Amino acid sequence: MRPPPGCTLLVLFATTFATGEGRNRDHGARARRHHHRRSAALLSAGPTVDCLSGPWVAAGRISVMDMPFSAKGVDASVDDSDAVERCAQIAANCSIALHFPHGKYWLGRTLALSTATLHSRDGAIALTGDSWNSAELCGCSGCNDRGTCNSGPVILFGQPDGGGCCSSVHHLDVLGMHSAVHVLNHPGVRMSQVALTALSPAVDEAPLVITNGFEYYFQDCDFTGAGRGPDHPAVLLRGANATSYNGSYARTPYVYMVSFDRSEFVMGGVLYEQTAQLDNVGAVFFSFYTCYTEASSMPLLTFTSAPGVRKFRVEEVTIVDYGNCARAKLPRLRAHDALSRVN
Amino acid sequence: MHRLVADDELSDDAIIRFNASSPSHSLDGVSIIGASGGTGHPAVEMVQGTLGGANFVNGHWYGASDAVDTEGRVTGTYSSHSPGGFAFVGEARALQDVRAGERNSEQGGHSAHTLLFGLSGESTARAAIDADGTMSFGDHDRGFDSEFGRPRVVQSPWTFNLTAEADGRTASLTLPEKEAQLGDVCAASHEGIGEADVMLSAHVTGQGKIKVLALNVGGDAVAVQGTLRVVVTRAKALESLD
Repeated sequence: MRPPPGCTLLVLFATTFATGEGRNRDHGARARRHHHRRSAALLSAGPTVDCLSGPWVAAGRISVMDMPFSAKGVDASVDDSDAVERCAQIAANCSIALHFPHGKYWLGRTLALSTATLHSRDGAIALTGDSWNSAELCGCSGCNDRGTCNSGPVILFGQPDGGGCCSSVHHLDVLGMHSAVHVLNHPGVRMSQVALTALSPAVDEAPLVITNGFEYYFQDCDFTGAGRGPDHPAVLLRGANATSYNGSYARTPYVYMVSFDRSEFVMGGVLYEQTAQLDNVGAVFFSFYTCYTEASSMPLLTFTSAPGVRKFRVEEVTIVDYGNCARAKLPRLRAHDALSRVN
Repeated sequence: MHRLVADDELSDDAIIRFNASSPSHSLDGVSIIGASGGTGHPAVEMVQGTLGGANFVNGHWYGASDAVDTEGRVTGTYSSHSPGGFAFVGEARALQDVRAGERNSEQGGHSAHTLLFGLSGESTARAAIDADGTMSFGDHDRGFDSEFGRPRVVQSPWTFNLTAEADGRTASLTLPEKEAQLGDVCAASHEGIGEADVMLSAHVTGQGKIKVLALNVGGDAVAVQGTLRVVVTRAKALESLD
């Protein structure tokens, strides 16, 4: 995707963890200054990129329904991929949030967000809906027509060879056939008030899949799988990078520092799989605060290491105020109600 | 809305399951506080791998308070808040190693003892209680000097008659206690002696055998009936640091 013409801005790394609300972006950046300095030192400096001028620059966010992008976003009957991708490019270039007003959006192809697709310095982006009135991003037409479902995730952060850093998602429901969101070699993702649902996770899939990386934080989120047992978790974490680490947080051979706060796991728990060799440190710091599982046929947290992995050490797991509501008996997930929150 | 169909019973899954491909893979450092939602399920299930440094502080009825292997045996090292108070699980090999080494009484957070007691400002611990029942004691900065194995009690009905004459003043009984060794400290009591002037003694005569002697030191004949109890403890003087 070529950057659109327009004014020129330096993409400031400090805005990459933006909350999505313009007035809060600076606060979020300050709060994570240390993380940003560390990450900035590890990521290669990117080019100065173009930012398409428009009212969104002053507003601090661009809406996918703004003219001239005009995503439909009503009943997910029209593939809004083009409009959303264009807005995502502008949002990244202008260091502003990508806003989805309340509605249902059909993304017929995976929304790939990385340094390969976003001409920003770090491939970071903030996606946001409206508080208490979330938008729904669906990989299927109408959010329920399985015959139209994209087989990939609805959203992909990162890319195989390292995909930037520090994106965020707020106030969105994301529904996919096999997975809602993939995070691949893309450290520093934050989500709040996000519901991720997979209608029918395949093997090695889950509503949320994180492969390699560093520092992930989820607050007030729901992860809904299909309840097929331990092989079908609600969140899948994979330490799978077999190539050189070289000190890059985007290329760690493990997933490191994952925190869930006030979050719910439905029809599945969290599964960590270590398939890459580890030299010394292992997966460290997994924390759950006021979380619960519901209708799950597996533990809240499961660790596995693949045969042949010589070293695997998990350190510091903290679980505070955890509740387990019930075991799954029959997973009766129907496509048309899969976005509903289970309470 | 979803209509979830769930069993009447709550989950019996562990909160954490560790299923590594090698027993050398480890889970080190787990804190679970305020977990609920199941009756009888463990906090951690170690299918394969080692667990260390775990703490479980949960409710008594719905909370999970154990780390177990696939056979349901406790595993790893952890402390937990139990219905009766607290439970502490130590690791046998670590205990053996620390007792055999120079760091036996070392103060601080890396002690292999299950419970360690010390005073601030001192370099060595004053006391330790281990999960196998062994207790160790020491003085200021001198390390542990005394160790007591966990006491064992054997008991048996024993009825005997003692006369006041020399040839009938003693009676004896040999009890089995498979862990008893020569030199173990023994103490005996018999509930039937009452006010009679009868002395009891016990000592280990060989591996697994304890001999109890009763001696009438009074001037009257005595008939004794009831239960004999013997406590056997292994005591060991340790080499202190001075």
